[in-house]
Amino acid sequence: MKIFSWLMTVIVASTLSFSSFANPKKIGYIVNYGTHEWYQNVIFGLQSRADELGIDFEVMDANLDINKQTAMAEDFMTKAVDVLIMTPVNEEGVVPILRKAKADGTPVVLEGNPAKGMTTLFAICDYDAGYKAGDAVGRILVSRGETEARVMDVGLPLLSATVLRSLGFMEAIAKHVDAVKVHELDGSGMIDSSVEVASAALAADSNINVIYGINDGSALGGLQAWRAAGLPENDLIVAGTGAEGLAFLNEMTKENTPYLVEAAMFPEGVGYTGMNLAVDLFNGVDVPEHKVTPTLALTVHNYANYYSFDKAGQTRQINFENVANIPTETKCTKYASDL
Amino acid sequence: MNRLYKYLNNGEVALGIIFLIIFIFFSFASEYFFSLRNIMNVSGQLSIILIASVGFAVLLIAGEVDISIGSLLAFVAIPLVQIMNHTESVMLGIIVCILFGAIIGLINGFLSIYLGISSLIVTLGMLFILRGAVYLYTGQRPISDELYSDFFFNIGNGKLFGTIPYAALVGIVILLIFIFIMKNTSYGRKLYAIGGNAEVARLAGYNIKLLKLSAFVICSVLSSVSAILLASRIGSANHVAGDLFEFQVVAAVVLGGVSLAGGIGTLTGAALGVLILAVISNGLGMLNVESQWQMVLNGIIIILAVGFDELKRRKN
Repeated sequence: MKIFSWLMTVIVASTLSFSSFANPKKIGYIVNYGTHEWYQNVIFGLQSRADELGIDFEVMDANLDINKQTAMAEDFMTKAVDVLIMTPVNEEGVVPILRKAKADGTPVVLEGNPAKGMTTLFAICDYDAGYKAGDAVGRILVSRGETEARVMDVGLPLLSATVLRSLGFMEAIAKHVDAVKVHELDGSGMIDSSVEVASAALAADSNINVIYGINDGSALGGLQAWRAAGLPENDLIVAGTGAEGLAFLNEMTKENTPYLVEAAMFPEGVGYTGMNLAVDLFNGVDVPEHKVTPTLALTVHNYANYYSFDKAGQTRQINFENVANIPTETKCTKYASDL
Repeated sequence: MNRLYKYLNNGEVALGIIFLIIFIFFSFASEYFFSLRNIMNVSGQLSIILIASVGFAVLLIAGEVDISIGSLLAFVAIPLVQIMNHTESVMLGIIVCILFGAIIGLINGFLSIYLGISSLIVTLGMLFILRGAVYLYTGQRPISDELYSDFFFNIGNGKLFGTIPYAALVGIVILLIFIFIMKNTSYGRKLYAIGGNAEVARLAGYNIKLLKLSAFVICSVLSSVSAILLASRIGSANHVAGDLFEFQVVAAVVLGGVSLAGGIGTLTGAALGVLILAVISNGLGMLNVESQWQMVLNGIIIILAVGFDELKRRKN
C-alpha cells in the first residue's frame, strides 16, 4: 500500500511538474529592423535558447514598416504561435496589435520599448548602462591623476533611450571628477554621420579628453574623426555603448588604443532572456512588467569573460552563463518619463 | 483552338490563371495558408494597397502619374488623428483627411495640367514636400490615436460577423464602383481616350484638362481612404507610414496590365495585380521565407511586368 501511494505521488507530482513547466511549441518573433547587427545578435540569443528548449522559433522582419509588422502579427496568429515576441517599430503602432492579440488569446512579449496595453517587456536600462560606462571612465581618469573630464558626446538627441545613456554617462563621471560636456552632437547613430559631426566639432574645439558614443558606430565615428584630425591619443578615453558587433572588440583589443570602455548590453543575452520570459509567460508564471537584461562596463581586462572572437573579425561567441550571472537591476534608475 | 488562344491571350484571364496557380501552390506548400482565417487576413491587409491602386490606375489610364501617394498617406493621417483627438469626432477627422487629400490632388493636377510640368516631376516634388512637412510637424514621432474609439479601431481591424474584415469590404465596394465607372460611363471612356491619344480626344471635343484634373483628385482621395485604414490599423499617424508605398502600388498596377503609357488596362487587372503580390507576400511569410526575398521577388515582377508592357506596345 505504501509503495502504491508513493508511486501515485510520483506520478501526480511529475504530471503536475510537466504541465507547469511545459515549453511552448512555437514562438514567433517580429524584429523591427533585422539587418542591424544588434538585432541579428538578439535573434541569435533567442534562437540559441529556443534550440536548447526544443522550441520551433520563427522570425519575420518588419524592416521599419509598422503596417508590415501589423500584417506579420496577424500572420503569426494564423500560424497559431504559442507566444509572440515583438520589437515594436514604434510603440504607438503596436497598440492595435496588442489589442488584437489579447482578443485572440496570444500572449505577447515586447522587446526594447514599452507600449500601452502590454503585459511584459525585456530590455536593458539605458541610463544604468551609460552610468556604468561613465563610472569606469571616471575611475580611469582618477587613476591618471586627471581632475576634469572634457567630453565630446556623440549622441542621438531624438531618442529618449540614447539621451538616457548620455545622461547616465555624464552623471557617473561627475561622481569622480569635474565633468564638462564640451560637444553635444547628433551622430544619428551612424558611423559616417558621427565622423562628419565629430570632425566639425573637433575643428572648433579639440580640447577634450573623453569621447562617448551612444552606440558602437557613434563611438568609433568619434574616434575616427579624432584620428583624421591627427590629434594625440595618449590622454584620450573613448567609451562606446551596445557591444553590438565585432567592430568595438577589434578596436578595444588593439595595442595602445584609447577605446577603453564599452557599456555592454549583450544583445545575445537580451535574446536569451527574452526567450526565457516568453516561456514563463506561456506557463502562467508571474512575469515582471519590465525584465531588465544585463549590462556591464566592458574593458580589455574583462571582455574575455563574456566574449571570445576571432581576430579576423568574422565571428564572436558569447558566454551565456557568465552574462546571466551579471548582477542586474530589478528596475531602471531612470526612465524616459524622468527626462 | 483559335478562340481558346484568344481567351488565354486576354490579360485578365492570364492574371487569373497565374493567381490560381500561386494560390494552389501555397495551399499545398503551407499548412496555414489555405484557411478562412488567413484568407480573410490577407483580404484585410491588401485593402489599403487595393484602394490606392484603384485611384492610381485611374490616373495612369488617363495618361498621368502620381508618385506622392506614399507621403500623402502619412500627411493626411495627421489631421485625421489630431482632429479625432481634439474633437472626439471620428467622422470630422475622416472628412478633413479626405478634404486634404482632394486639395493635394488638385494642386498636383493644376501644376501638371495647367502649368504643363511633367506629373512625374510635380509629384516627385510633392513627395518630398509632404514627407518633409510630416517630419517637421510630428518631430519624427508618431501621433497616437488617443480617442480609442471602437468605431475607428474597427475600420481597419474589425470584422463583419467576426470573419470578413470591414477594410476588405470597403476595398471591394470602391473597386466595384470604379470598375463600373470606367467600363460603363462616358466619363470612364473619356479617361481611356485622353490617356490613349490626347490629341484625338481633344479633337473629339473632350475637356482634357478637367478630365485629367479629376483623375488626380480621384487618385489622392482614394489614397486618403487608404490612409484612414492604415491609421486605424496602426492606431496612429505615423511619420514613416507609406514609405515606398508608391512603388508597391506601381508594381501591383503595372503587373495588372495597366500601361505606364496610359489608355490601356483595367481595374480588374490592377486588382488582380494587388491580389497576386499580396498572396505571394503572405504565402512566403507562411513558409517562413525571409522578407528580403519578397523584396527581390517584387523587383523582378516589376521588371517583368513593365518589360511585357513595353513588348506588347511595340507589337501593337
